[in-house]
Amino acid sequence: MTLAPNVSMDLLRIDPEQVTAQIAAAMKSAVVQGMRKRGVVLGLSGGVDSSVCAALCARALGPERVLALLMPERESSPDSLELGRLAADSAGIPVLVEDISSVLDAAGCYSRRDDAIRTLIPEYGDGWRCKVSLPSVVESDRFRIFTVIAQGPDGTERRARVTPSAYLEMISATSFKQRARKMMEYYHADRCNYAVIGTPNRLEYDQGFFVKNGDGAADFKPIAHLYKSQVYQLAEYLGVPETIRTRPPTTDTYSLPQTQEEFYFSLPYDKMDLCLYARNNGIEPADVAAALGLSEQQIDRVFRDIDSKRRASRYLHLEPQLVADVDEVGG
Amino acid sequence: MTTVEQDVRTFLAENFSLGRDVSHLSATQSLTERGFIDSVGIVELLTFLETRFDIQVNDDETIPENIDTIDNIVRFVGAKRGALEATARDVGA
Repeated sequence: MTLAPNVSMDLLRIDPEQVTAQIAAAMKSAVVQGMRKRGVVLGLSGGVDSSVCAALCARALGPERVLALLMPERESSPDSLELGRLAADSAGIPVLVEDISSVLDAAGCYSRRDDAIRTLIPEYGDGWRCKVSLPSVVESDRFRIFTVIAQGPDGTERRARVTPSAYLEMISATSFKQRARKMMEYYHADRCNYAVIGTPNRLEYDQGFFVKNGDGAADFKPIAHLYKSQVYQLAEYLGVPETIRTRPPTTDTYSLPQTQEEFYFSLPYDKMDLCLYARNNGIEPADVAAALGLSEQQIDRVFRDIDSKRRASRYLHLEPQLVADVDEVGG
Repeated sequence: MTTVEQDVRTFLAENFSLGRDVSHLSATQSLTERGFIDSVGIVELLTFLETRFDIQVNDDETIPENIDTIDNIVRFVGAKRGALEATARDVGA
């Protein structure tokens, strides 16, 4: 990437050794002193965020006090399981595999979602695969309205703009996946007297790329303050296997392959990081545009999208609201 | 106030304001920038416009210039219906 002299990816450079030490100290203090827990559980997806968190947990608490869960379901990419094992082995931590397909079946995750898709694409059925996609922020000023893309067993592709009811049903049914995984993490955490680690990076945490009470739920989030490119710097420092570091970020939520960019973020993660950093630090769109080789108008749209996602995700971050404070609790 | 504007205001009040009056909402005020409606709300608005006014909104027409203020919606719906009527006249002729 060619960058302007004053705005560059160098703004996101960290000292990985110092950051690792800071996170390890904070984790030890929060989990052991603060929560009085004996260790931590985390779900490993095979992605770079959870792999870095696993390595950080092992450093902070010792690998024997960390339990990794691999929680595939029948629509997961086979790579996820393999890469999850690789991350756990690399960090030296024990692994359990919990296939959540039967939990999802019992909850109606697949059938409810498929019924919703059939209201848009009637022929959708056995052997079909699907994903949802948003229009690019940088290519047009269109509102970001989801399109369902379905592919039949013979490769036939159908596309349909969502309706309000289909959209809400699809998203809520699919969220069973993240919530079932979190339920399993808390089962093992309670069983072992451990705390649960959440693995969002700053982009995901800030922009609401998580399911409330699903992957958004956790007792400690070690990398929520770090931009994704900073997580990659930590990954290299911590020795996360290269296969994981070079794999493009995916959602691994829908049955058709889907990048995070297609589903949620408007740019590849490194460009998105710089835009979010610029938005947070008052850097002018023109300067970011020059650095990223985009137009000022495109950066303006990305900034508006960042603001819009922050507004939309405010609810996701809210604690349960009380009518009046209960001062005796939580001190 | 046009019928289209009245219908749109009624829809906004019923769906995004718990039925409370939205006469304070300026016709030139962005519906999305201040969070009056969110991304799901935009989908609901599109569905409403298509069913209430019997028009088809194409993907490339889902832009702020067409649907982000009440004024823009009124202008957009008027243009779509005008185009439909002109087509019907051409077919009839």
